[in-house]
Amino acid sequence: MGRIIGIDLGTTNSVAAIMEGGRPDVIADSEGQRLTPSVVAFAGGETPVIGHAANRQRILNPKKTVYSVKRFMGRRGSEIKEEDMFVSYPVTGTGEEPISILIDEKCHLPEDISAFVLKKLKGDAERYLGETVDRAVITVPAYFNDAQRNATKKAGEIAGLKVERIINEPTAAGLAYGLDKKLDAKIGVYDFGGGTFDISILDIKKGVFQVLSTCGNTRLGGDDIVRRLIDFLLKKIEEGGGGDLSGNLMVLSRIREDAEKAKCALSFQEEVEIFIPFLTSSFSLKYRLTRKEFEYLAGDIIERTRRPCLQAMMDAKLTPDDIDEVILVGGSTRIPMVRQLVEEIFGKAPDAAINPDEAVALGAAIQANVLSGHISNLLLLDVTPLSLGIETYGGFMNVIIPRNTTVPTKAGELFTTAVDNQQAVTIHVLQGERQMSADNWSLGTFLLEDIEPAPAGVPRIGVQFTIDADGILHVLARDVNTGREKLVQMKSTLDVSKDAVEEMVRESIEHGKEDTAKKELYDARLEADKVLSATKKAMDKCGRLLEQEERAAIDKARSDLEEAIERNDAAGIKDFTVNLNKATERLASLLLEETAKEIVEKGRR
Amino acid sequence: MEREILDPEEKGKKVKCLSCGSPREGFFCYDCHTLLPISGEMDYFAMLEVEKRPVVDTARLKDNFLKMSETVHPDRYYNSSPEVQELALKCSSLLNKAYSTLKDPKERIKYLISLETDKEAPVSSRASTETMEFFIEASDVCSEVDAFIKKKGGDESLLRDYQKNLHRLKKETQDRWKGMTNEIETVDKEWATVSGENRKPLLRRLLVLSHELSYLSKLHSLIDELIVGIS
Repeated sequence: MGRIIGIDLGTTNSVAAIMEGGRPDVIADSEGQRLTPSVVAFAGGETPVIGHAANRQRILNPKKTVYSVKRFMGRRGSEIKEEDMFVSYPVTGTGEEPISILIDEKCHLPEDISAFVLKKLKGDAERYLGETVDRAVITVPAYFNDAQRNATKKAGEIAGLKVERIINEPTAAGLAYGLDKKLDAKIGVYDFGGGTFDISILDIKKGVFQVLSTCGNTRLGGDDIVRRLIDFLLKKIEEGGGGDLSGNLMVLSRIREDAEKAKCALSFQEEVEIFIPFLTSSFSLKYRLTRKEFEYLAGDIIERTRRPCLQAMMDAKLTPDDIDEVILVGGSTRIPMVRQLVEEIFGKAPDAAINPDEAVALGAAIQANVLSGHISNLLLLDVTPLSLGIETYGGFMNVIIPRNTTVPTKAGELFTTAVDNQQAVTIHVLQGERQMSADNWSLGTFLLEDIEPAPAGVPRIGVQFTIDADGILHVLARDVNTGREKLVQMKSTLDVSKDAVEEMVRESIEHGKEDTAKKELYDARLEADKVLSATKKAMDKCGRLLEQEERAAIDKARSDLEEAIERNDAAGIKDFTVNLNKATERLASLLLEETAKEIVEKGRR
Repeated sequence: MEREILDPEEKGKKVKCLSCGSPREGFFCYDCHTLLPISGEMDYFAMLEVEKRPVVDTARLKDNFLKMSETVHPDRYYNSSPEVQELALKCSSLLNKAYSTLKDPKERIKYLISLETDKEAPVSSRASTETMEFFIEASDVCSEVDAFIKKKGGDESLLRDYQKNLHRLKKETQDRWKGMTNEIETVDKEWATVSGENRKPLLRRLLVLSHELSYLSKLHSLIDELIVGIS
C-alpha cells in the first residue's frame, strides 16, 4: 500500500503535505508553489485547467472559471442565499435539489469541481514522490455537517483517492502546532479562512489531543470581506461617473482581483492605491483606500466571529484565563483587525508560531502517519460539532447526541408504532442547535420496514446512531422482539444520481434558456409576488370601498399577472406588475386612510 | 417516545481474549496486545478503574480515560481486520460514554443510583422549594433577556443591566452547584462506612441532589446561551 498524504482542501487555496523523516512538509505543486488555488477553469476542450493556470482565467473567462466552490459543498438549492449566488459562474438549484454548476450546458456538482483540484494535488504529489498516491487524509471545517463531510469524501473518491480519514481543520492545525511544541496546554484554534470560520478548544496532554468544544460558521470568510469591498468600489465607480457596472461580469472579475489585492495589502500597509484602468472606454477607477475605511467596511463581518468563540469557551466550561495559547489559522487571520479581536476575546496576544496557510495540511499529514501506524505516541480525540437528533411530535427536534460529544460515539433510541398493525415508521434525522426541526439541517429520512403486525406500541425497534471518527453518521436498526438487525440507508435528497441532476438542469435550461434570463425571471417573480400579496391584503380590507369597475380592473390585472407567472414569461410579468400597480393606486390610498383611522381609534380606546 | 441506551454488548462477566483465549476483564489483553470483546457486566466505574462511589478522583479519571483511549481508539487499529476495527469503534464509543457520564457529577450520581437500585433514576422530579424558587426567578430574567435579544437592538443601559444580571445569576447558579457538590461529598464520606441496605437513605439523598443538579445545569446552560446571545 502506498503512502497517505494530507490534504487541506480550502475555499481559496489547497495544500498537500506528507511526513518525511519524522517531520511534515508541504508538497510544492507542478509550478513550484506551495499553495494551489482551488480554482478550475473550463477554457475549452474536455479537460479543465486547475490551480494557478485557472486563476489566470478568472478575468478572461469569468463564466467558466469556478472558484470558492467549497461554499456549495453538500448544500441544497434552498440554502443558497441570493448573495451566495454572487459568483461569476452560473449556479443553479432550488428547493431540495443539490447545487450544481453549469458550464457549456454540462452540469457539475461541487464535489466534481473539488475532485479536479484533488486530482491535481494527487498528480503533483506523485511527481514529487515518484510513486503512485491513492490514499489521503482530507480536512474539512470543524463546523461542517454530515452532508458536507460526505460530499468531501465523495470528491476524494471521484479523484481516485481512498479517503482514509476526514479530519477537522482547526484540530489538524492544533496537531501541527502541538507536535512542534511538545507541550501540555489548553489551546484555542481560531481558523478564519476564505469561506469558513471555526473555533476549536483543545486540551493537549501527553500526546493526546482532546478537542473540548468547537463552534463556527461555514459561510463566513475572506470572500465576504472581498464582496463588501467590491460593492464599495462599484459605488465609487458610479459616483465617479463610470455608471452602474454591477451587471458586467468581466468588469466585476477585474474589480474582484483588485479588491482581493487591496485586502491583502492592507494587512501590511496603512493605505493602498487601487487603480483599475479602462473599466469602460472612458472610465478608469483610481481610489486610495485606507485601512480605517477597510475596517469600517469589514468590521461587522469580523465581529461575527466573536460569538462562536464565546460559545466554544462556554461549552468547554473554560474562561479566557484557562486558555494557555491561541493560534491563528487561515489567510483572513493576517488582517490586523482580526488579530485585535482575538486578543480582545481571549485576553492574550495570539501565538504567531505557525504558518496560517500550511498548518492544516501539515496536521493532516501527521494524522495520516498516525493511521499508517508510523506514529504511536500521538492521538486525536475529536468531537461532533452539531447536535444530532430526530423530529418528534409537533415538529420539535429531540437531541440524541449533543454537540461536542467525543467521537466515535453511539447512542440508541427505541421506536414503536402509533397505530395497530402499522408496518413501517419513517424517522426524520436532523442536525443543528435549534428547537424546531424546520430550523435545523435535515440529514434525511429513513424507513423502518417489515414490522410484524401487532397492536400499537407493542413492536420495539431499536435504532443505533453511530458517529464515526470521520464525524459521519451510520444508522443500524434492530427489531428488539425478533433480534433482526439491518443497516438502514438514510435517504438524503443530496444523494441523487448525477444523471438525475443533469436531467433536472436540462429541464431548467429549457425553461430559462440563459442564466441571466433565469435571474431576470426570478427577480420579476419576486416583485410580482410582493405586489400580488399586497393587493390581496388591501382587497380583503378595503375592496368593498371600490367602485364596481375599479374592482373589475384590478381583477383583470391580477389574473393577467398570474397567467404571466404561470407561463414563466419574465417580460409579461414585469409589464403586468406595472399594470397591477397602476390599477391599485386608489386602493392603496384607501388602505392608507383606513389604517390611519384604525390607529386613531386604537389610540382613543 | 421513551429513551433507552442500547447495550450492544453480549453478556458475561469475564470474556475470552480473541487471540490467546485466556479469560480477561477490561478492554485490552496486555499479553497479546489485542482488544477484548466487551463484557456486558462491566460498569463505567470498573471500566475507567475508579472506585464506585458518589465522588471520584477526577484527575485519575481523566488520566485513565486518556490512557485507555490510546489503546482502544479506532486509529490504533486502522490496518486491522474489519472485525477488530468494529470492536475498536464499540470500545471507544463506550469509553467515551463512560467518561462523559462519570466526569459530570450530575450524570455520575444518576448513573450510580441506576446501578445500585437496578433501575433508571426517575427523569423528572421536583427539587427543593428553595432551588425551585431560584429557578423560577432566574427563568423570568432569562425570558426577559430572550425577548430583548429577539427584538434586536435596544437601550444600551438596559443591555448592560441585563448583562450584569445574567452574570450575577450565573455566579449564583455556580455557587449553588458548588453547595450541592459539597453535599455529595458529605454523602460520599458516609458511603464508605455503610453497605447494602444501609446505603438506601444515602441513595435517597443522592436522588434529591441529582434533581437539584438537573435544574441548576439546565439553568446554567440557558444563562450561558443568553450571555453569548446578548454579547
